[in-house]
Amino acid sequence: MIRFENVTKAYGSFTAISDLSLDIHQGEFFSLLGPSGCGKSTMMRMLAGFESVTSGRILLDGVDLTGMPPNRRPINMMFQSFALFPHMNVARNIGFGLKQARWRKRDIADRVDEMLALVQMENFADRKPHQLSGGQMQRVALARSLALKPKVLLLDEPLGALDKKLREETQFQLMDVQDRLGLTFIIVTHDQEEAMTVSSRIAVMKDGKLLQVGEPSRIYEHPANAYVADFIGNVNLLPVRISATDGELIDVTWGNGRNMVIRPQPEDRLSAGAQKTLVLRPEKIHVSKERPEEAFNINMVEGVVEEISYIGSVSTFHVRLDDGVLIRAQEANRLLASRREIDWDDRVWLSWRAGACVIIES
Amino acid sequence: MRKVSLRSLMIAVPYVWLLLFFLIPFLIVVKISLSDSITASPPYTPQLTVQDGLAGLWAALSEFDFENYVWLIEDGVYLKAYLFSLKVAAISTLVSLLIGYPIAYGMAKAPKRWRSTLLLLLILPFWTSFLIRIYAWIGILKSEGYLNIALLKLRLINEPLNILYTDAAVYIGIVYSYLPFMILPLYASLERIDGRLLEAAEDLGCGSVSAFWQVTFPLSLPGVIAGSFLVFIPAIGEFVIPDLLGGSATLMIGKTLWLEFFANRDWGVASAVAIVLLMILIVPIVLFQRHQQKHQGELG
Repeated sequence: MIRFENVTKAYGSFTAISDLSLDIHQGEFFSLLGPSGCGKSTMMRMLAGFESVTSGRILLDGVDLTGMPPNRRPINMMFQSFALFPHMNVARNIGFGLKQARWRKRDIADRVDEMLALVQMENFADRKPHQLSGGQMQRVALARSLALKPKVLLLDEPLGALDKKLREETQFQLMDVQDRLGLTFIIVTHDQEEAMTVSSRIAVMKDGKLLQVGEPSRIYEHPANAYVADFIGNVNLLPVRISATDGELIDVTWGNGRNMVIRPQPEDRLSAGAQKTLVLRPEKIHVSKERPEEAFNINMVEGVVEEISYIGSVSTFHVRLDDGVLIRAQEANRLLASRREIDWDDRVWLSWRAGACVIIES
Repeated sequence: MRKVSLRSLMIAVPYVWLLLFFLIPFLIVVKISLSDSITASPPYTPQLTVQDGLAGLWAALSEFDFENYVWLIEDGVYLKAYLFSLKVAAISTLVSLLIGYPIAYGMAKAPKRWRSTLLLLLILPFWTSFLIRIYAWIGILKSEGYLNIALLKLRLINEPLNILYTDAAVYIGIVYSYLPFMILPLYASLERIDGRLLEAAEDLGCGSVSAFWQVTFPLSLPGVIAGSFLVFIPAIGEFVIPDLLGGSATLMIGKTLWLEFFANRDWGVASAVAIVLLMILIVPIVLFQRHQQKHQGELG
């Protein structure tokens, strides 16, 4: 539905987006995710028409958008910090676009009511934006950007101005609205958790390039490279060398000649002796004081707890192995913290299954 | 305890200041406006002295009357002067707004690094005496002044324009003098309009002209109103500009007041003129204050 074709955007000598191609499908909740300055906002602004494309083109339903001003594109945007018109009440804010499109007064009123109901703000039609809370402003902004029935809704850091609790509620509201209207939503965010929660697909960007495009679970479990692995969630990245490639499980060596068994992915290209990076998520590692039972598909190592960070639901253990390698492992806090069995400086066993880790290129 | 008293002392300072330098002089003027003029020094009666005490005050009060105010109404000159002053102030305000808005808009849209320079340029004339700048306009506007020389050289006119000592010169002088007071609040309100609001308007289907009228202009209204009051209020009572640039027919209320006071030595009528002027100004001043307070809540 939306296609970026070899799009490049340069500001003078600085290249914000370089030769980027991307397809976004009808009805998707698509996230552009990356650190600030990665070009994700530029992508969105080019799509909305606020920035021109230096080379390449953007197509919407096969129509080239190049040169079309923002007020002619069937794309609406929900701005960062909402950009509600402070001198207009909620109803006039929502009806603004309709008025520009010269809708009849009665139709505008009907549509505004419909939008107010959609975001459950029926009782606030006469309020001015400064009389609203952050969450209410967000809902008005959403209603305003949806009033014109755009083909695509762009959301620029839509939840950045909200506190964490409200953000989670709002994420579900956005997903619900998107699902009900069947629109294409494109969200720009630097918050990987937010992107994981709401999106059907994520594009991870860095320095104006796409690093990986895929479903949240794919990006989390099978990152394309070390940067993506590290950007999304916590991770242990271990350099490994493949020692044997035959069989369902393969052997790799890591650290000071330790052996590890892993279950490769069908698409992994493996050859003995190759240097790779192993992605091992902390939550996939089990921490125990007793040595776990041996099994052909279990890896285990021993080390000393150096640090414990407690965040309520889970604790992260920083375990220093005897050969100096530091591994982060995460355990759900099934017991009260006061009854925790593992403490600082304890010797513990770390164990993980062969199928819990993924190999990527170094 | 001591902290509280120190605080109230600090708060008292401006009130004492206002009492000493505004309220007491104001009451003196009110008192003179109710007195009768005589040929003496000081030229009014009755006079209040501390020695006479309360009895003297009562005696004086019985002599007070509104004769001077009645005179203001009966003699049409004053009414005409008030109306003319209002007209001059209103037109000058409008012209200042029409000239000042594009300037303020340009300043607010200028690249950030230029803005402080532009602001500096705007207030630079204040570093020269107001009086000297008005005299400079005489040099520009007179028949053989710079303006006429330039226009003649450019062959746009055949004979010098007669501008100085007309109402036109007064308008030019007032607009020139008070333009910065129009531009500064306009600039302040235009500059703080979030650029995203205009993008949002555009995104929702507005063209740039329409976005200006629907978003930029309404949001700059506090500046428009503040600037208009800042020009209108002092322009009504303006004395120097009509005196130096205006002709003898240009009778603004400030000049009338001056004439009554210094030429006629009629302090009673002069004070009455001043009090009425104040009454006229109080309306826009109060409106201005209320407006400022309202918008502080809304946009601050």
